[in-house]
Amino acid sequence: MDSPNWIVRSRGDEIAGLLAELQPKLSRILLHFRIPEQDAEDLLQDVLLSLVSREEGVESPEAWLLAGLRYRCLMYWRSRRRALYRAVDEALLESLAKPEQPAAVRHEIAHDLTKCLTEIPSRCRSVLKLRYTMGLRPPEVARKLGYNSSSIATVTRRCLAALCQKLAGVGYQPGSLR
Amino acid sequence: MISIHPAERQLEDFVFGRLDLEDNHRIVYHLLGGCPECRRITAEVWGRVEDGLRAIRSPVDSAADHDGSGYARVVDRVIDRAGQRASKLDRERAEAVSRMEELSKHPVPRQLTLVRNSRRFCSWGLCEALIQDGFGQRFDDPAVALERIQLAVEVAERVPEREYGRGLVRDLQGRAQSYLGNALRVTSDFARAEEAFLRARTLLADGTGDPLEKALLLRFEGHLAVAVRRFEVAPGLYDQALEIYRQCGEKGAEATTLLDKGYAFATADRPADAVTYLEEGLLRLDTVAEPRRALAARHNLVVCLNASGRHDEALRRLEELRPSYRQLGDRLNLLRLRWLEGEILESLERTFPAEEALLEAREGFMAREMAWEAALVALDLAALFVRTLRPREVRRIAAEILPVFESRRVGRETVAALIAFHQAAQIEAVSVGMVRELASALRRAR
Repeated sequence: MDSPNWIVRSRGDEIAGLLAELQPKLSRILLHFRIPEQDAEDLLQDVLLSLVSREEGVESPEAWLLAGLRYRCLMYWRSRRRALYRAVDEALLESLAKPEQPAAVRHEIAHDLTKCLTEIPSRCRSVLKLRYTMGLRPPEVARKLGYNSSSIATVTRRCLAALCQKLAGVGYQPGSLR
Repeated sequence: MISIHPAERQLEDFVFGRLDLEDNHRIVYHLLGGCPECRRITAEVWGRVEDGLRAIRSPVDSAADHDGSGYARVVDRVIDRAGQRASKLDRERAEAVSRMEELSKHPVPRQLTLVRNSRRFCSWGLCEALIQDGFGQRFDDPAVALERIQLAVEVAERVPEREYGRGLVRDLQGRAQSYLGNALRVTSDFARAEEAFLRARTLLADGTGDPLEKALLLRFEGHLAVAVRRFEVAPGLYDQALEIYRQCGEKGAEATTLLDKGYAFATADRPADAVTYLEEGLLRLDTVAEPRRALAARHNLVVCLNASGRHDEALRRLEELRPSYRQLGDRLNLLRLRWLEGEILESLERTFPAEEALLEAREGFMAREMAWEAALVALDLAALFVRTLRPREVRRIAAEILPVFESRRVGRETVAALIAFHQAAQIEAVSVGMVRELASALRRAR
């Protein structure tokens, strides 16, 4: 808590000086993580504003900025992955819950889903079948399949990952289910 | 299969989470149908996500050519915004002093009303100032510290997102909740502390991902785990915080966290492990900048050396400590030093100087009306008397300390152990082990 009060001494021009010095390193991190340019600005802005917003300061602004940017880049991709899982999950749940959708469309989605589920590991097939074709909630799925209720969220997420990989045409990757 | 093919750009936006609900659904149903071409394109984009996630495992290539990447322009654009923010915060921090003074003139309920109803109190600077003030008072006056932090939470909830950005405001709110949890832990309100930490986690997950906020929360959660004696959890929490501090070059915080971990092991009756982390923490600590923290850590190190059987080394280190105690310590800390000295001398079976030190410590605590501490020292004396076959003194101590501990809120099991000790003293059946176990139970019950 008593670390050098770097940020209190600093002003806009000092930050600008530091950033100019670090610009190649920051650019290389963004390149290394392959962050799309349109999103890189938001990421970098977040990390810089966090730095100037820390009153107690940081001991090494350079190390903090570089570590902070790496961390945010990782978070960026994780949130992309989560967003995709969520999108697929919502779409499939929605297909169940839309009675106004023409029967033929619903039938087609159900048929495609069943076909897709045959191509993922069997334990995931059971979980997702109960969720998307019978509309069971996670605690009910856990009870039916004998999973612990505290772990069913993780199991569902992993199964959803397997399904997303299938949809995205990348096939089943055993490592991703561990 | 739903046969209208999405555009390539749409598939990319789908993977990157940039589409609205309806388009998302359309693409999911299309991919579900197994369109090979769209799956191929999606697989390519998905590959970028996987590459991005894998990148954390490899070092950044310091020689990579980034000139054509366009990132340099991105850096230039954000410099200006960061500079403006720094100036605004500087102004707010300067104003925070007078706002704090203004608030302090009112009773706490009125302070809350002011914060809830007046926009000039809803500033980042004031929130920070309240947190710092509260944190600084956590040991001297935990109740006031808690009030300050609760006020900071109220301010954080009202800091306008449009001025600072949603992510940063979530970080600040998460920080305030982290400090609230810590303040509640200090007042032994462990259940509410846990709730505050849970809120902090949720808020920080919605924030900018600032690693130092996460590390601070992990440290505070570690403190709570120690306080509720969940010793299997605490070291892991400290390790996660340490990893972040190392990555961010926060040497001071790293040293402090090592000391925290050492203290956790000491509390868990693992003195040898505690010695390892206390020594490592002390090596890294800036002892000139933090003399009090250094002294406390050295004191704990001596306690743990003694507890792990390294009595001679403990005594030597204690002698080295004495000048620092005289320089920094108040008389109460000097008494604690004398007590520790008595314990070490007793471990070395140097009976007379040990008895002298323990008696002096006990009298000092009694003179300050610190009955609990005096009774704990008396138990150390009892162990000495048992070893040197002086049953009458043991009986006298047993009779003296029973009402002191009975009048406090200690658990039923501890009271039973006290009564058993008292009865054993009457029939001269007390063992050194029995006294030591009782002393440990009472220290834990504190």
